[in-house]
Amino acid sequence: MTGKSFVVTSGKGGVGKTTTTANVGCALATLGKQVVLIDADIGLRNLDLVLGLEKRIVFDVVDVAEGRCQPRQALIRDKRLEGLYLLPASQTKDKESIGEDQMRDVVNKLSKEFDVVLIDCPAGIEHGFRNAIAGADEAIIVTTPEVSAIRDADRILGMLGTRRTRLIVNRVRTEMVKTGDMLGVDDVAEILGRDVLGVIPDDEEIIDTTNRGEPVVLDPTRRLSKTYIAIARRLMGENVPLPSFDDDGLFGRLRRLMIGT
Amino acid sequence: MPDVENERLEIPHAAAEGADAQSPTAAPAQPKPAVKLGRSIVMTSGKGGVGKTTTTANIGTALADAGMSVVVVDADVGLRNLDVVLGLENRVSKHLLDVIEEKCTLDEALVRDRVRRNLHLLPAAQNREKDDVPEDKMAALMGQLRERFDFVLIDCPAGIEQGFRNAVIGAQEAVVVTTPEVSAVRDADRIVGLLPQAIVIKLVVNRVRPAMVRKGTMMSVADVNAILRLDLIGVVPDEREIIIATNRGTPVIDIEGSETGAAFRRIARRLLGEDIPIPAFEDKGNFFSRIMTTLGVGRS
Amino acid sequence: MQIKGTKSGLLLHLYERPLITAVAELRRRLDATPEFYKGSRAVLMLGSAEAEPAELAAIVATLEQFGIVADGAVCEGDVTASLARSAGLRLVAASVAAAPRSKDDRTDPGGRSNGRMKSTTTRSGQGDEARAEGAAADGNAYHKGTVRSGQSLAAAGNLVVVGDVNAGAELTAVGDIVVWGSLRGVAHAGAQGDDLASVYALRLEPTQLRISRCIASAPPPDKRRARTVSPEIAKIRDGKIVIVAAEA
Repeated sequence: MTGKSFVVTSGKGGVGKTTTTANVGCALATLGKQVVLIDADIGLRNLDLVLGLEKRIVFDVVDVAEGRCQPRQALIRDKRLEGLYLLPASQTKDKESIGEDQMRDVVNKLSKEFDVVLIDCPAGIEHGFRNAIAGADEAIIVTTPEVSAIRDADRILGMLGTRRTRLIVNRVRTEMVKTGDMLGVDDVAEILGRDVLGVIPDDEEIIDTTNRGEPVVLDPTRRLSKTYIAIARRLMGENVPLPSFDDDGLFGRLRRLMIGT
Repeated sequence: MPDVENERLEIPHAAAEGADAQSPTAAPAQPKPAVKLGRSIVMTSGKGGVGKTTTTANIGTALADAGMSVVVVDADVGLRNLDVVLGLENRVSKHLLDVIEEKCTLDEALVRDRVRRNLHLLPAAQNREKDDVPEDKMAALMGQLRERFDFVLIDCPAGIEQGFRNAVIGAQEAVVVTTPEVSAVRDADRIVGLLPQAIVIKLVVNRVRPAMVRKGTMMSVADVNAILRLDLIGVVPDEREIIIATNRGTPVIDIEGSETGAAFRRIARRLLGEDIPIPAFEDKGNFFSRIMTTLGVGRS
Repeated sequence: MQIKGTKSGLLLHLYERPLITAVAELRRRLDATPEFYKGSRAVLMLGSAEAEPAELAAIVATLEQFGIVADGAVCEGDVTASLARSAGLRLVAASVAAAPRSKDDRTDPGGRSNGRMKSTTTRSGQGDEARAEGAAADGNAYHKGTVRSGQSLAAAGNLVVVGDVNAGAELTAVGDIVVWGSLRGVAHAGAQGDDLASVYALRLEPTQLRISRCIASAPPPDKRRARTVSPEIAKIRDGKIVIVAAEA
């Protein structure tokens, strides 16, 4: 089998790439997929923290790339979810410790054993970013409805080549969209010109669960859990409609004016 | 053996010092220059999205209001944002790289703020890569800026790659910005470990939500500094006003009644040497009221 | 084929191929002074080029005939790494291989074949190393100040840190590790296989502890008996890492 690989990227830091990678990964696993998450943020690793797996790291992606161990030895199997694995980054090295070819190799090797490979990309557009996208079939851009984030997302769109690229709009605050203090999802999609894979509302819960290393998806009673599962479903090709949010945004309002609703 | 008076040795019980409490050491002594050089401070964090750019813009603006001549430098080549946050993106024509490559003079690249005449911006290039900026030229340019301005605030990109190294190269001081979240603190710690020994480091904890701290769902400032052990110069509360202001290109310090804005003003004053205790924030519904503690919640 | 002696044993340079040609040379050299190396340990530098498991087995067997235990390999690449593993050799980082052992070497020579051996890579820490200052002739090292996330310290003897060791930092010592502060990162004592090595800390809250070939992660804070802020020692007891309170 050859699984598909996705890089989760953004350009701007702090928009929720790592949290999204962790939770979408968990969601895919709950849907029965064999998933491996790769932390490509060498020297500033966080995916292990967000997943609560930091204590079990022995080998990392740089060890695999340099042949000090087999990929299987470096993978950490999540004990809470069947089918979820993490390939952690190194903390003591930096991004120059690995090259694009090596990353591509690692991703290709893992694609043979997993349904989905999700690569958590570092912020920025430097070496680390180029490494992270090297092995990816498709891209998922995470952005928030803020000018800086959209601008940075736009910048990296140009660097992703012909890969299929979809958006996840994170930290949407519906009340602020209604008052016109925040761009709506339609606005974001229009500006960036890509399909929306998911919309994630701003939720305080995320901070706490991230700090404690317990991805929100592990608790099906949490509101955000359903959101990520929907994203996972869409990723696997299911036609799950996006929530309406009642969010009009500028374009939404214009559209309704024209349709006359 | 001579008759020696044995005095009882009293060992005074000194207050235990943190093994590595970063004391505000003075910058290494330099020969007195003919022109008084300004202070160059890199605003860094490691983790993206913790508020470096907003902090740089607001502290720069507050320093300008205090009468200082300030230049804020956007060192984020390729992903510039400082111009947007300051509302100056329409006035950008030349940028840092143009100056370094001698395609224009420094004056041609500097953008003067619309409101504060003593606040300038040196924009980043949007369409280039960070590897394009040679470190020595960056250091030289920062030196040039120090000759002209009281304060040179360098907005550092996220990460620990060449962009970070370029931003640090011309700085004598650093303000590390973090939020009270595990990942952010971890990344900030990494950054501290990478900053040159000679740099004087200070800490700003951003996006604090007192209600969450009380509930136990957010780290306290004390928790953060128990790990980072840095000289704390500011605690900035989280407010929705920040997003609105940033999107509009208005500094938060200009928003009436904004606690966040007030916090930035205090940071500027502390940078100028004023000893203002850090208030403990209380959450009263949508308002944060300050309770000034006599001792001040400073170093943990 | 070269044999180098270090304080911790022998280093064999085995870069030639086919590897089997090294056997004859090895035998010839050891035959010159058959009793001299008895009881020593050897680390094999295997480089990166392929070799047959049988060839490596022949090298190991030859060494055993002279009372030398081959217990580690330095490999440059996947190929030789799996070769080494298949021969039951643990992977060792080059700089640690050459590091002298602590003076009282109490490692059990039969340790290689007991059931609890895990294959771990002894890290020397590359990249941003906060080199321990004052590395003494006996390999002990002393560092003052907080060890930050991403920094690593290594000592060929014992390692003492006066300060905190933050999460994301790594300490490696051939001997003991002492942290006069909070240990929140990863500490590996007895890195060359000394089961009697210990880790001491004023606050033992590590992400992970490694002593010799054992690895353990600390239990989550709420599971440990009520938040004790007292000095503790981690050591191996009955084949597992345990934490004991430090007695006054």
